[in-house]
Amino acid sequence: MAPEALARTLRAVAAELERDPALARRIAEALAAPTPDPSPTGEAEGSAGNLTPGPSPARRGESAPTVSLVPLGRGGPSSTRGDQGADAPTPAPPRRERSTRVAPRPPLPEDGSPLPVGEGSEVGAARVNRSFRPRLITGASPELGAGIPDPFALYAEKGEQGLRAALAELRTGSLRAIVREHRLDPAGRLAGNNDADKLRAAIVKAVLRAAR
Amino acid sequence: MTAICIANNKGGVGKTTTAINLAAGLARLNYRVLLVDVDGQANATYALTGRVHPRPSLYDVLVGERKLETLVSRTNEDQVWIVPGDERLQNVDVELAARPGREWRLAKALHGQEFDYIILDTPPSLGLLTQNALAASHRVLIPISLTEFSLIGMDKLEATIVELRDQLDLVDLEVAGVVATFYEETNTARDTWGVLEKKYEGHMLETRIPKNLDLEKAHRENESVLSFAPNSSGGKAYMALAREVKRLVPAHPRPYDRRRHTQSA
Repeated sequence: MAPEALARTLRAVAAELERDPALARRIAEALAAPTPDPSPTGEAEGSAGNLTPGPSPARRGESAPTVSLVPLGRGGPSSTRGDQGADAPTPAPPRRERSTRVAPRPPLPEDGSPLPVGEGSEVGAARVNRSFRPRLITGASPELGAGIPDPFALYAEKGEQGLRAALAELRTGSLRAIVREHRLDPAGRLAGNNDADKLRAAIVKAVLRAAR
Repeated sequence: MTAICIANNKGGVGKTTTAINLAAGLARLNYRVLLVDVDGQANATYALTGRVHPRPSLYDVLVGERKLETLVSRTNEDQVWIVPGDERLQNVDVELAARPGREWRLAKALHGQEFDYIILDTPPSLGLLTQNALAASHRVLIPISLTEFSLIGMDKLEATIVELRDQLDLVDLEVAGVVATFYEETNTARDTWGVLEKKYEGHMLETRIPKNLDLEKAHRENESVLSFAPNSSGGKAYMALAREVKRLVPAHPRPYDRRRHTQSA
């Protein structure tokens, strides 16, 4: 991975950790957990020899995980690139395996009661940190063209299902405009009605009646 | 025909809401109204047609050679027509920068339109789009939310209006009034109102638009609050505003003509 790409990745990871304290805590716990000694060959690291975990936080008595970024081609205390030649006897310091383990979730209560939401609760953390998904407004289909849609033309072109699909995209204001423009409610029963489904039903009913 | 520009360089003061509902209110007073969406956010277009950034739009008139009358279309409100906007309008400042008569393009495009009122919804800036809208207008209506922040920047808007009036020879461009929006009976609102009343003596409109959820719901349903909830506090207020504007700025019987000052441009 290119240094720039790696730096971007690390910044993204750091941002995620700052945004999600629960995730940061779980990762810190996972990193602090005792792990078996690393393989002396260091094959698991592949060619990305420039990223080497620092000394285990547990051994340093710290809780936060650290990584050290070593410039490409320079090698490092734990470099596995093999570019130091056979006479590079520098022993690699103890290194932990890359781990994806996370702290185990607390067991669900047997009586089915909900888990407490808040600090220290995995379920609560998951709820609080759910991703933000704004409602995407795409608006009415461009196929409808400008102005007030003509339901009779839509029916003639696309049939009943097509008409229903087109009307389903429209909001109350557009539906009310169709009713008014095409005089589909001569008795005025829908006047002031904000129920979009009723407006759609009235439009479809009027169009089908006219089609017969 | 009378053109009213809804302008304030501050965002979030209710410009678009005022433009939409004032247009609908004037239409209910039996006037034919053209709403021109000069804002690149094109929220007025969406709020009255359900279309999101439709094309072609006003951009093609201002930057391209398209005739404005080919874009005039019906809205969900009876007696209200619209010239839609789209996101490309945000580039107009750059694209028109070197063109001669760049402040007059909208006024020229509107020439001869036969509506009773033209309402121009502007972006929250004093760039070329707003300058085009001001140059095309006879009166300016300034919505203002009664907060401390809204007082900041009002001087800039005033200065721009005065500057344009001198620069473009807009001898009859005047502020029709300042309308309070998002009004609540709070001490801050009352204090701000007091400051504005002193500053704009005689220009503060009697109608105050209250904070009302139905105004927002009406946007979602792509219609004015006068159709969605005519008896809501917001609906009643905008109907009152339309009556007040009609009284202050009567509709001119002749077709739109704002080119008399542009011959030298």
